[in-house]
Amino acid sequence: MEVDKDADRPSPIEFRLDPASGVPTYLQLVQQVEQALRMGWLTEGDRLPRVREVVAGLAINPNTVLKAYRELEHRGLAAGRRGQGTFVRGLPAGVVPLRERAALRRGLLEWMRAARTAGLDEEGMAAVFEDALRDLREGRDGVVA
Amino acid sequence: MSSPTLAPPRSAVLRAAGLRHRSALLTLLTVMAAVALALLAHGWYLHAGLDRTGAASCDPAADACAAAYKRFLRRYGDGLPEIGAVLYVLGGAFGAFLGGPLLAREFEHGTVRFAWTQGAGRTRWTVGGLVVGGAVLAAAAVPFGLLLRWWSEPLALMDGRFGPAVFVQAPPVLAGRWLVAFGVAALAGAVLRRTVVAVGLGLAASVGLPFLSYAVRARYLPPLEEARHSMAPLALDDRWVLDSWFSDPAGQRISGDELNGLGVDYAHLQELVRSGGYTLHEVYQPASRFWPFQAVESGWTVLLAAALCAAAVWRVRHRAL
Amino acid sequence: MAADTVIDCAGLGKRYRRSWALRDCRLAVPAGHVVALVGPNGAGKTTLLSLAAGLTLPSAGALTVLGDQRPGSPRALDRIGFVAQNAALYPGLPVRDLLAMGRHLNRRWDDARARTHLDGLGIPLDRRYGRLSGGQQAQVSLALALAKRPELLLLDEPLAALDPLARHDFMAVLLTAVAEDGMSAVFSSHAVNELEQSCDYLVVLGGGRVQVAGEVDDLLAGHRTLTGPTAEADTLAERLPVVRDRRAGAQSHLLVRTGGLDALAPDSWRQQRVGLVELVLAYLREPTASALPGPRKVLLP
Repeated sequence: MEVDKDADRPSPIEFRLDPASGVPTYLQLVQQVEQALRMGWLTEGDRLPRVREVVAGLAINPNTVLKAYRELEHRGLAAGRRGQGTFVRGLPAGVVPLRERAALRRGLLEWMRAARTAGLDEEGMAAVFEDALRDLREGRDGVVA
Repeated sequence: MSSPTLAPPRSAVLRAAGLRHRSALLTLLTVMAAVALALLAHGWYLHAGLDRTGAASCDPAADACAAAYKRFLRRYGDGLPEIGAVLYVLGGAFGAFLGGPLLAREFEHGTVRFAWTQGAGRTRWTVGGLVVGGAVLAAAAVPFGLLLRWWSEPLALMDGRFGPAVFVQAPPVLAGRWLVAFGVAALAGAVLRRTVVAVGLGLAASVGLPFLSYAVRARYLPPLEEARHSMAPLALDDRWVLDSWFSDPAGQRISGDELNGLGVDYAHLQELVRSGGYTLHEVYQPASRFWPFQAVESGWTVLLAAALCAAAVWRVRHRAL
Repeated sequence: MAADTVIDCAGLGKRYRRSWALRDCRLAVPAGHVVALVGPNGAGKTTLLSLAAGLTLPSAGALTVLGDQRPGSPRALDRIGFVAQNAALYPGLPVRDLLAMGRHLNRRWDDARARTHLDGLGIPLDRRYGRLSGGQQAQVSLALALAKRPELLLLDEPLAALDPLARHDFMAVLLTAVAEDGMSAVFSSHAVNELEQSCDYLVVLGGGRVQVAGEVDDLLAGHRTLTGPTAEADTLAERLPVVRDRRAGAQSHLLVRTGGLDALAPDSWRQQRVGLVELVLAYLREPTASALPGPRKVLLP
């Protein structure tokens, strides 16, 4: 059963935009909701900001907000209720328990120390990480550019 | 959510036009009021002077009266023709200054793009402005004309009601002239889109119009003719003498030169006309036609002004930015 | 009844004295969008908006608004709001009187909306319009247009004279009205960088003709930048509709229209999606290139 919270209560989160990030606006909104879920700022039953509020605050196209909310619904993270708004439904797939998360972080730190010993600076590490991330992503999608 | 109101009353466009032109109308009325105050003060001074010299109450046909009036003019008349001319131009200026910016300024300031995209549409908006401006102008012309007439009374004592300067100051004709200046300026503004040029053309029209109307005025009604046996003028009658000619005892028309050849001086000619069988024929418009003539002249000038305003509206309707 | 298209024209042309401001314009802008009209100065943006608002008449062709309405007709004037360039209103009138004028001149009028809007921004109603700041003047113009609760709002360079904060506030109000009413909006702008967040439909005018018209998502999905060896560039350019072609000795960048999928190109070419700014600038730099919905002219060398 869904936990029904007061639909008139203000949403626990507010969106911001980074125009320089190059990430499409709707995706920025999606990512911020995911982030808020991971951090525990949003929990099931919370209302996402109304389209009108997001538009008024960020001066963005309402269709962009609708697109972001559709994407969140598609990902199973939110559900729209007619006339009330869009509400958080579940947690994103990427959320892992804190202990496991800490272990992963330790492993990455270890790799970073090794990289520094090998002579890589921070930007070099980031480049290697993004390169590997792309390989992972493209390998999974099966698309080779 | 608030609900939008629907269908404002028809008079709403006039109220909107009133808001739009309020400051111009207030300025106009203020200037008029200032001029009127000056006229009141000066007119009182002139009337008092006329009383003092005794020319106000004597019989104008008497020589003593004419002398008193000349005394009055000598003492009080300095610069009066100039003041009269300024007032004459100023009258038309009221119309021109109101009509010129009415449409031209909308083009100059780009406010047409607001005004013409409102629900009422550009035609009703333009008509509203012209109606409000014209109505205020016409209403103001009535008291102003009465005041002008009163002020100029002492100066035009000898001219009669049909004197050109007197006739055009009576309220109906004055209102017509102001409206023509208003219409010309408004139309010029719609066509040329320049306020200064539009006002200038309105002024020119208001100065020029009386020449036109004076040229046609005598034909409003067929003139009367009277055969007289005296050469003394009938000033008290206030008739408008258009023409006069003489006939000999046989009833044949004779020229002025022929008549002058008959006598040695004025007294002799007067004698010939009084009892020598010669007749003075006067072609004239009687004083009783003053108001009918006012009606005719104000009628056609107001119609002309309406036509000019209609042309301005037509121009606005077909105007592409 | 909501109309399918907000601006629909074919063969539309407008001539001022000797030169054509718009020529052979074909456009069908669907309803429900925030449309950005971009193009260099003199491209015909103001002319197109004036034609749609009924302020001017076409020299050739025809244009209808909100479905089949004639621009400038009473029905169209009731349903269309217009915000003129430089937000020109009567400088001597207090804001209150401007609102009263709007109320008197429109059948549909939401006074409360305008007052809430202006109160929210702290714009005093008794201040004369001419004494407001540029941003406040723009907001008053917008409030007057929005109080009509229009189905279509036309705005001619609304942001040109505004500082960044005023631009943000202006777009926030405009887009909120879009969210509330489902109103369509068409605005011309030079601020290409700021379009991406606000518009979802793009029209690029160049030299009096429509170069690009389409939904932003479709346009972005329908273009790719191909980067590869210059030696192969000619063969590729023969097969693909190239919008912009930049070649150096060894490496070339081709901006091509692909119609949604990746282009069929050799492995030696790297494909990247394009951003809106890059896309707009490419078309502005190449006034002869065009990407129009419907039957497309394939650009072959």
